[in-house]
Amino acid sequence: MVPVVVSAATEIPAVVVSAARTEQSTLTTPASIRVISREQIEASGARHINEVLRGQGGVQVNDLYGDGSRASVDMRGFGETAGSNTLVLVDGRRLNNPDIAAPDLNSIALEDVERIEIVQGSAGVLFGDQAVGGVINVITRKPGALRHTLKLSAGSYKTLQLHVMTSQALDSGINYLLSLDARESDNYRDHNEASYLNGLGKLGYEYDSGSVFGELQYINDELNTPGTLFADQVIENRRQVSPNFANDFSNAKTAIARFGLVQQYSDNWSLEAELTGRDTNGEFRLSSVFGPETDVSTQDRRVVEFTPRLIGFVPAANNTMMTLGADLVASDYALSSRFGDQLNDQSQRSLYAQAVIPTSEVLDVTLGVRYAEVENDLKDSFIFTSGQQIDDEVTVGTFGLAIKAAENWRVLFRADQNYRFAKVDEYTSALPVTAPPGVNILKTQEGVSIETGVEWASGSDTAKLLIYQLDLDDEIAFDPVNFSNINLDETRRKGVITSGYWKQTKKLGYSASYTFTDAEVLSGPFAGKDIPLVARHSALLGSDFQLTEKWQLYGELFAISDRVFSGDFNNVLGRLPGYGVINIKAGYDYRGFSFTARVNNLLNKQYSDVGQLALDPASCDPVTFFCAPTESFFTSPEINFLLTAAWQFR
Amino acid sequence: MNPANRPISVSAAFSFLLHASLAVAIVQTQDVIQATGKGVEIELVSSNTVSHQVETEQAANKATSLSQQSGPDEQPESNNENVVSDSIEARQDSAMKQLASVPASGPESIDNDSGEKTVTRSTNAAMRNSSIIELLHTEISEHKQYPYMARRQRREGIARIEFVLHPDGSINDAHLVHSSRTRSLDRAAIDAVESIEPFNVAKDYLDQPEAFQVDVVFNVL
Repeated sequence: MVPVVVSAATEIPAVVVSAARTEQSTLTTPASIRVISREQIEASGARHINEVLRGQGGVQVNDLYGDGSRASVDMRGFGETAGSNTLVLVDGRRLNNPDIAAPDLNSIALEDVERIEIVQGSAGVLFGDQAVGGVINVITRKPGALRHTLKLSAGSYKTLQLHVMTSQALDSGINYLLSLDARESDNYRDHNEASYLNGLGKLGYEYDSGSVFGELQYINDELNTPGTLFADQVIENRRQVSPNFANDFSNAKTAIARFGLVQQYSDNWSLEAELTGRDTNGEFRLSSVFGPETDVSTQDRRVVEFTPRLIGFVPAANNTMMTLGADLVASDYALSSRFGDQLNDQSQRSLYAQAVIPTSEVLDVTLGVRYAEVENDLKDSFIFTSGQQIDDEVTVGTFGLAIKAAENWRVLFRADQNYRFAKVDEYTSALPVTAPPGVNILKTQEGVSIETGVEWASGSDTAKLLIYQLDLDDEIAFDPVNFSNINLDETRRKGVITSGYWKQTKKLGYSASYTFTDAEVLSGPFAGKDIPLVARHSALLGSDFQLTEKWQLYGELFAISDRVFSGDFNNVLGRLPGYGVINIKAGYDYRGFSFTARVNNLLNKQYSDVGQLALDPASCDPVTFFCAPTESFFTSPEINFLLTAAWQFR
Repeated sequence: MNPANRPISVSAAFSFLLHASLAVAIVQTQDVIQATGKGVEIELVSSNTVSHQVETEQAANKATSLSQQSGPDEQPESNNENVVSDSIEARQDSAMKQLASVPASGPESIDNDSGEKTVTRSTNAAMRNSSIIELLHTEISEHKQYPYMARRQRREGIARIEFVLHPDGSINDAHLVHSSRTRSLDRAAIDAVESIEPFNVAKDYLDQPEAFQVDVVFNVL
């Protein structure tokens, strides 16, 4: 397309201006952000995003079945409610749900990921609801030159995985991406068969002052759910399914449509906006330790969100960077089980503004505010039989300092308020069951995160240290003893997060991270108790080694300390033991083909990633119906492997 | 309690350390530390007639400018202006000293034969021509910025700019010959060319206005 120019002009050699994509966060926050690049993802041989995130500084992954299918990402120590307190974004689109289901990170095929950004700490102003402990921002690949990828994997537990992708950006400005991800596996446990299909089509057009895109995605997720095992069952056969759960399953079909635009109005101002519709129709059978469930329940959610924002610079104010936006989210939720129905709608509206002000060459000051309101229309067969509207509003602010202390050094200080509205399905089982009309029986959870950190970066070498305290009022949690959602009194999380990467030579790199988390309830009936499922210590040590031009090795050691069993707010049970695992991967590249072998849990440790408080049916008093709480386990896979062959054509 | 759920065993840690130390032992004999750039990088892609001294300075200056740009809250353009312009002045001085030394030493060293002298003169002319191209390349490179909005949107492209340089160092008629298909990148390319004005060393090389063309390549690595 280069026009033929007849000119006597003297040619100057091309001037190349390169931006390193790993350093270009699309988030306009001064928070500490750890970026995991495409290269690092590939080097690790990870199977899914949860596996990439596990052990990263400040991140705890709780994976029920060891395949990432029912995993939640926990930042800052929330345990069971992690899926409602860590925000997950894909190219800015919220994956979090209006109900308590954790966001489905598997809905992003790892092959389509350009990089993952881990944003430490609250981001209530920029992202609002559920951005309490932190934000996981996944950036997908942008089509470039024509590329086809075919990837086949096979491994333990009759796992078969297929990924097909083609993408291209044409000279005309049109670009497209088609991606198909399919996975079948029996998984480690009995009655844990999984079938996952994920198709994505994206069409975009770039013009000189902006771009538009449309995206359609369809996901079919089918999983048999073997539930938990009591300790004696684990000893007997840790892979078995308890007879009660032998017919349980959890299936969902999700369709997503998304449209977006970026329009640059001047050198300094751009409008970015996305409109997303997501429709999930689910079916499940969920039994209890007291007996098998026979009926099938249905769970449907429809979410429509519109998220426009203006981003720009004000040259007159020392190039202050402004972000002004609105988030509109409307959700319909329907649950139908043999206990009755819920038909709950929720609408959230918020406005926000944030300024990053360079006050001098070394100091950036960040100020921001968000106002948010929520409307819930609740109707169910239990409490709100004639319907009830519950509304609330909240305003949060942020203040931050980023100091370029010296060459390669950055010091951060940030105070960020956060909130989380009660989810649509949390009201139904909240106490007291009889509240006067209009009274919000579940208060909005509010808090503030204060953190300070030091970061050093030189080339690809980085080192980060972050210290924080996160205080919450009215934290929303599930009390399994009273079978009720409650507002806890004050809770506090304190912690230290360190991470680093050191490329010793061109061929050898080391990564390390360590997270200390102290999460406890400060007042109320659970005062002084540890928040369930939160590890005090976790660490990840990794090493990538380019053995030869074609051979590449990777190894990691992940270790996590013991935890309180999920739901055990009284801390009456023992503790779920900590564990350490080693995972290794070898890769071989040959002319566009690559072969990898990854072995997880090399030392064949027997551990449980998640354990929860269950009531022991054998202990129930026939008169008082009191049942003693006991420990139950989601046993994790022993040594397992995955072999992958991939072909990439450009 | 399930006895299988043990904390980390000593063997796990030991095995990992063994793996890591073996890897260190193998590689330590092979390679040197590589400094990989980050943030916005400016790279020269032309053949290099500028001295090693200048290159060394460029590397140092690059490191300085990069350190200013690191981090997610980086501010575009203006924050680096002072650093960059300081370094350019220093570099231009240094480059000029190097270039000035070439024609000065050349004729003296081979002044015995008139035939050789002619060849030397023509070589010097070629070197002068090549030198101004290098100087222009260096200067434009140093004024280049990847606009924040374009980086954010991962916009890439090649903008071809033509301009006329006058012996007095002024530049006019800087215009687009071929668009990058992104307005902000086209603008940034023209800005980079215009911002080298006044290009005072032009008087040492030009007797009359001369047109130049340059491709400015924006890419996200």
